[in-house]
Amino acid sequence: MAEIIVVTSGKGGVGKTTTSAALSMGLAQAGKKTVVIDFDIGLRNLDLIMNCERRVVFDFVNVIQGDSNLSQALIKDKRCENLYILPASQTRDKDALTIEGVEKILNELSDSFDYIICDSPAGIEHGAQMALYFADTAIVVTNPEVSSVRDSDRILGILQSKSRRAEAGIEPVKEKLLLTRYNPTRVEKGEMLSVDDVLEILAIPLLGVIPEDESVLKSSNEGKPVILEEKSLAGQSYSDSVQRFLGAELEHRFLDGEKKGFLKRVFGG
Amino acid sequence: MTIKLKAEFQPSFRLITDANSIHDFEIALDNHLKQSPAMVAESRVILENNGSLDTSILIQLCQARKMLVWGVYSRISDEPTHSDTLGLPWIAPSQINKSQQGGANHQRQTMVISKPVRSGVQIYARDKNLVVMSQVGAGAEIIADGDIQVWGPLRGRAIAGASGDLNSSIITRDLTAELVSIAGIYRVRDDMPELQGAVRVYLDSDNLVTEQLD
Repeated sequence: MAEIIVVTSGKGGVGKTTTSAALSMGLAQAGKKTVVIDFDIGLRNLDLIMNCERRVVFDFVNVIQGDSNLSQALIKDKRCENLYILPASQTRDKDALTIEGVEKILNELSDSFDYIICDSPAGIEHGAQMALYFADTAIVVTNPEVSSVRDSDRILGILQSKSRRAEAGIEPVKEKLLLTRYNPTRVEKGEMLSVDDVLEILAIPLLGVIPEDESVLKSSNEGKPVILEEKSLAGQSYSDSVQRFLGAELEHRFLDGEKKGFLKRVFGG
Repeated sequence: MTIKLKAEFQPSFRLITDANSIHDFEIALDNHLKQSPAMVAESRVILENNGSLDTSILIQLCQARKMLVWGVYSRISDEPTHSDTLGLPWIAPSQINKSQQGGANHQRQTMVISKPVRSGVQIYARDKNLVVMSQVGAGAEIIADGDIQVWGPLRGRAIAGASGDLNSSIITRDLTAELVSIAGIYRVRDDMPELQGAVRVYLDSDNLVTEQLD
């Protein structure tokens, strides 16, 4: 039985797809058989970040509607043999998703995978609710600013009331916070919410803090999950987060402002 | 076979009218129903008819709106003429007020919420007190007919005494609420004093008081 993980946020542009790509690649590299599904029907992006946009023949909606079978639509990643991508349809809209259709696909994937990552669209409407409905675990991606935090609070409420686990009255969806685009220098200046501020409002366990990093945009444009940029701060933080997800206890890194360089230390810059 | 006799205090309303026209009465009643349908529909009612209309007609109009009239009274007519013809008990205000006040507050049960109340979530503790063991997020709304206690920060809206209980109160460890209301008298964040720590909000006649507890 696979564990179903939804990557969600409420607000758009906070890094859900970046996180889905990095997390799925990280889990696959750790030897876990992983599939990542793009639930953003009509605004598909995941295939670009995973660099498989030229290999899409069939998509999620085709499988739901029976136009193709699952194995025809799954795309195997070229860099990691444990990783598969199920792309979204660009020509349809989110109403094409049905609970029965999604459940059938997840059940089928569940037999052969360890992890199923659902990359949620922004918002709290039908598409986002379909992405989170079957989740066992939710990774809530939040930026350190008030509107993103409030939207995350809202999505946490929906997870605890409208998910399958909530409706069935069984053990609730596990919630984990991933704070992205974190800029310690701006936090010190009081321009940005700190990790503690966000944790106080949302009150869920912290999976990781991803620092604001130019390498995120660069690797997105290259079709490369940022976790593969092993030297970048964001890449390292995502690696840490994946290990934490798998049970390791690691200290959170990159929470303080830039380390002073050697010259600055000597001359007291 | 056994018979048990237990004291019961069921809430009911006193519907007081001095209407002299059926039309006026119906309009006024429907307006009330529109404002608080959940509260009045299917409720038990004592009809106090101080107008010139025939009480039996008013009872029919109430019943057509799913209100159950179980007692009658009038300040302007005598007991026998009324209750004899209608077969309903004659219930003067003083009797009722006593039993209502004695029963309502003490009998109220408590709803306990142990998880955070998230933005966008609305909780209504009907006929109950409400205790939230965690926080109430900005954009969330908690409502109770009785008292409200919030053991984490209260950042959303809290509405106590929703059906008009003037004695209800709100207690929280950290008041940064968007709005607090007791029995319909409310105050928004902008009009609240800056208080640190635990706070009790209650009504002193028509005045909403926010009192620091520690």
